[in-house]
Amino acid sequence: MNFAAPLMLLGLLSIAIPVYLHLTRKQDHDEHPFPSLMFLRRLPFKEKQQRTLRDKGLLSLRCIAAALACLAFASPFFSTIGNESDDVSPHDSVLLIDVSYSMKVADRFSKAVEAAQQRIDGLGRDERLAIVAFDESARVIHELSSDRTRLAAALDTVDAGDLATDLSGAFDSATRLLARGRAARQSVVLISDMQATALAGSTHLRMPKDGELEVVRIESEVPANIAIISATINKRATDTGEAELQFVVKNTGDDNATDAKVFAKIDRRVQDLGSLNLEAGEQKTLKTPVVLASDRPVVIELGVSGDVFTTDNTRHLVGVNSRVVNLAILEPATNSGQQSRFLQAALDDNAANTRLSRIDADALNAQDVEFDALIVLDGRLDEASSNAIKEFGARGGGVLFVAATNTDRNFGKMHSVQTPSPAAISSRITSVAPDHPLSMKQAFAAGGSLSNVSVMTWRDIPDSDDLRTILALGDNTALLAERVNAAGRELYLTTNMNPAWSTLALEPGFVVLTRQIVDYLANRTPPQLAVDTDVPVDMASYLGSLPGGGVWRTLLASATATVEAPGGIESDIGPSNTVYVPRLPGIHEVHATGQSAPSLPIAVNVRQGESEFEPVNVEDLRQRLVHDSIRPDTIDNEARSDTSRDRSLAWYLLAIAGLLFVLESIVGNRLTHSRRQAAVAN
Amino acid sequence: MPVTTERTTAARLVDPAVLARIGNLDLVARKVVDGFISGIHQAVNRGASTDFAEYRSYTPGDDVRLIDWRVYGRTDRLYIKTFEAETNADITIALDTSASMGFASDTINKFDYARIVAACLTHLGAGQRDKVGFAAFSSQPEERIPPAARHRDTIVRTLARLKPAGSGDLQSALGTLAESLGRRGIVIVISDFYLQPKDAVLALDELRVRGHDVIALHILDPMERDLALGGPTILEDLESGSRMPVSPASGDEYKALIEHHIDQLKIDFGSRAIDYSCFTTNQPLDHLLFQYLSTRARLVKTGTRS
Repeated sequence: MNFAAPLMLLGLLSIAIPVYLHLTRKQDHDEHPFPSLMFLRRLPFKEKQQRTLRDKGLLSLRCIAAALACLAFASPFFSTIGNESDDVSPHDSVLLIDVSYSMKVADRFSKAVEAAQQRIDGLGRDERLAIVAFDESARVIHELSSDRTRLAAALDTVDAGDLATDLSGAFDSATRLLARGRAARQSVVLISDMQATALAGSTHLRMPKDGELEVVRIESEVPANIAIISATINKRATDTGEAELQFVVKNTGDDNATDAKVFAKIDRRVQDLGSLNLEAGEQKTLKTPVVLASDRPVVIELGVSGDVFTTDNTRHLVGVNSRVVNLAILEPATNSGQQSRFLQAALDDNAANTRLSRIDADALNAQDVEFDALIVLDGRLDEASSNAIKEFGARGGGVLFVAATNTDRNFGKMHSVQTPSPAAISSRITSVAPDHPLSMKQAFAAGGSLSNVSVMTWRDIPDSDDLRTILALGDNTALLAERVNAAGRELYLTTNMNPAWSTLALEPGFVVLTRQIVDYLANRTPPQLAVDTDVPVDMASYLGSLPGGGVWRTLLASATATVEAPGGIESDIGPSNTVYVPRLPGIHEVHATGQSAPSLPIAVNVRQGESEFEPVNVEDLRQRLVHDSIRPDTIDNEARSDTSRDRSLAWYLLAIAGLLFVLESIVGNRLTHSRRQAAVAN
Repeated sequence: MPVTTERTTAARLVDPAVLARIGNLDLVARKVVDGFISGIHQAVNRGASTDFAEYRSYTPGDDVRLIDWRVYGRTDRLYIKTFEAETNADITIALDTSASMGFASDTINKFDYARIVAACLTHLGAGQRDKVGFAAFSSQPEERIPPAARHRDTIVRTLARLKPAGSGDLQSALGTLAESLGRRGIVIVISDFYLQPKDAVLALDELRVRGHDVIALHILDPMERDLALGGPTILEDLESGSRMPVSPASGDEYKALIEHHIDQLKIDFGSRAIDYSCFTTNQPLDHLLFQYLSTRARLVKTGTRS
């Protein structure tokens, strides 16, 4: 047994206190009022000190309770590390055994176990070995030990799973184990098929200083394996919901695949998509039409059968039909229409899901505002129109004010913005809010460029607490800013669409930016088709992006919901935690608890790549090793902090101590009461 | 049966433990006295006054002046005309309010018991057409209500308000009281008499030598007469606050001493014609009231008082 806080054991000295008190305390005399002592004067009672331990039972209770409380505060924990690592061995090794999905192929895993068993059998008298199993994460199967029987028994518990490979966690565990062992010679034995994905998420791997690495590569022929490596939905027409389901299947094995059945299950209706013959390494793109409902998400499952490796044979998707956005461009009658023409041109290309209207701004009133978003172009607006726009925004609509508002024209500075590529945008147009959906990098990730833009800021946006700058020019002048107006959003662009003052509208990137602004204002964030296992999902945002899911944004702020994973495993989400981490592939259903809200699906797939069966070069791996010297005391502290699973022991001790204190209190009161009763018998 | 019920009710009303739970002292006193009077079937004394009571047959030895000759003329029989007694005695109830009277080993403390007694005596006296006065004392008289026919309610209210406190000095207090009492009458001293018997006699003798008939009512808690200590105990004097550790062996010697004290008081008071009775707070009140009435009757009959 070890202690996370051994200094607390000094508290055991406190046991001396009750012992001292029980030894030295004067005999307890009960006091009673009495009318007169005149007849008792001549009969005094002689006080004397107690010389022997009194109330031994009570004393024992007090001592045991105090001792248990001290032990509990010292946070005891049981660990095999302590017993076996205290003796320093000349040679410590850590066996890293790969249990990822790719190890299921053919006899790879049995080969790996055989190699591990050989290491155990060859363990010298002065050597110790630890076993760590790893896939996406690492688990210590057995601490450093020279007991071959126990190591072999621990190895028997290991089996390959369905997860991908990540070496960083495994090397980190090995480094910690070896640092605890403090052996003069330290080595890591990696037994793996060395999948390329093993190094995908790690730039460096931790190794003990002067530690040796031995790689035991497990190789075997991969039989035919057809994997669905990607799937997308291409929409044809938003109005009708017609779309095309496109997915790529690949034979990642070394043998040819024949007569593999491919099917699609759309809202539980199975469509047979025929059979496939694929040569080793060959991939094919398959397409099938699908109709997406406008009022609810469509659950899609793509599958390939007749394959021994089933984990990569299925992809799940949630198909959503984008709703049509009603957009109005407001331009004062005094304008020539020059600005709206560019906007109209930019949005007409995407007419399938945007209905565009041009309105004379002076004729606008509150009743007419039935759009999803408004773009207000620079010019004078009368008061009624201004109020109507504000009211529209407060109700939840989105408004883009181009060249700020419509007051007097105030010519500002000319900015010349050269943006050769999206990566260099930030050097000229600064993304002040990089996480914002309209930050320049995100806006242009979908394509488009701003090669050489001249921008005249029509009016400086005032520096206000409720205004958040999203994009700024080189001298920190705001280019695009946002203000939250009750339930709606207002965007401010400080330049207009007139080519005489800004060449922004002439750039290809303007089309991308305009569409994304409209989608943002209309709250039309494209939902995720699917998420990967173990990737956290903000359910309020995800569900809110689904058709019929708008209520979930507000619902999760005040109520709880249940996410039902495949197999009926339920997890709760709610106001305190809207993040859900899906662990299993498949369709997860979200149900509101005691609220009226539609149940919505979330599609979860295993991470792609593990079934590619592309091995990594061992030299690449060695180059990523970072020899790291860890101080043993640091490791000890980490070990103590890692003993949360053993903290239950401390809690048990504390609970027992508490019970004993209660018992002590009861016994003490009883004793006192009985003494009083005996002292003065009525 | 109704009779049993009435008897039971009357008996319950003189049980101090029951009375202690009734907050209204006036009500307690009325109920006790009424129940007590109905139990003894002796409402008032017959005597000389202007209020006609009844006729009764003449027996030899009766005063011939009391024969109603008009009735004789009509009936040829001799009848004596009797009248309500009009004793109009002055009764002063002196109550010890020292802190030692606040002691209780059970539900009722000595002071509560004593003031119920005082209230009952007040009602009884008022019913007898006596003038009742009151004095509360510890080291000096603290409350003083002179005897009067209409002071009954005032006395009861005063009794209800009093609380035991301070140390007692019976000799000094009763000396002061004796000087203030004018007309001779009956003085009832209610106290726990924690002083030497000779000092107690001296204190009450101050009243007796001035012509008062003195009745001493000694009130004790049952535990004061039967102190049993289960183990080493520290006892704290309620008046002085001094503490004394005592052993269980002290209890037996204490009992002998307190009994000796009571006996000595009885002898010393008896030698001075001071009527003395000792009561414990678990004794029913009717015992005490009987004791009072018989003493009063004896005093009236023997003519020791006017």
